[in-house]
Amino acid sequence: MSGLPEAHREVALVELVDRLLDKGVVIAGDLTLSVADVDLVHVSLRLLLSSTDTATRLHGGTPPSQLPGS
Amino acid sequence: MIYVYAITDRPDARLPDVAGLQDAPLSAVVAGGLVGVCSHHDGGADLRASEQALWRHETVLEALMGDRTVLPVRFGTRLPRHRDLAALLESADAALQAAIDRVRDHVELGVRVRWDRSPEPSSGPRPTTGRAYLAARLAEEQRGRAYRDLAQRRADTVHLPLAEHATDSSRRLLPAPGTLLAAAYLVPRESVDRFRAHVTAVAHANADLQVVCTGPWPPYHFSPRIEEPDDA
Repeated sequence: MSGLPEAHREVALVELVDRLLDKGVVIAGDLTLSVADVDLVHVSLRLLLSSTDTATRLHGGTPPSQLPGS
Repeated sequence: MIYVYAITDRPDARLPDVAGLQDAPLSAVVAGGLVGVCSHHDGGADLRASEQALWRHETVLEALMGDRTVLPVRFGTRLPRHRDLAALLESADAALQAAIDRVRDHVELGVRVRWDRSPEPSSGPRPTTGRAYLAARLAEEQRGRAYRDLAQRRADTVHLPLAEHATDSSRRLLPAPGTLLAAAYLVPRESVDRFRAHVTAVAHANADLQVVCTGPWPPYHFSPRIEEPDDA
């Protein structure tokens, strides 16, 4: 998976962030994040992309070789 | 302070051998037929969102969903003590049981579609009169509407055939620049490979779009907001 195009690596992390910070059960309790924090996290995580191996997390996706244009 | 990862309904199931945030061991809080999975941390622990923390939260969820149905809890949810989680599970028992039943034996698959088409930029000279300005505004609104209509039609060519093969679905049109569609599909566990094959077929049929399928994820998009119990 390390050979994934950068665009696909980005998709894996964006999909993760969208889910963990915006979805899931919301129960009573103290949320670590405010709405403003969530925006900051989105930005800072995008900056991290080039130095991390998030591609390995694109588990089970449509193989890049089967995608149009690849 | 405890950090909460998930709610399940398998009090008999052993916790998986994975660590939580900051390598803290997982623990289970049982209340009735429900289990809250959490880890204990000092009050000053730094549990802010980082890429590593997000993946660790996800790793715990994926380990749990290997042998049980889970309701993923939103990242960053903390409670003061274990007994607060137990009380919450008891007070929301019916809603949580119903939510678990809704996603039982299902996983979530994500489909994200990239599209390099942008709204047409405005053309022509800068308006110098009020009338010309209003005409330019009207033309811009029409271009925006046409763009959204086209985006909707293209997104439908991906989403509608896939939604037919899912128990439930959720979608966002044009969620970000360059992205036509971000969708989530609730799919029976045994149908994951078949659903991926449908995604591949849809991708081939829409060669100008870049269709990427991710997952299986815990059912984040199909988990509810549990309202605070009424104190009265």
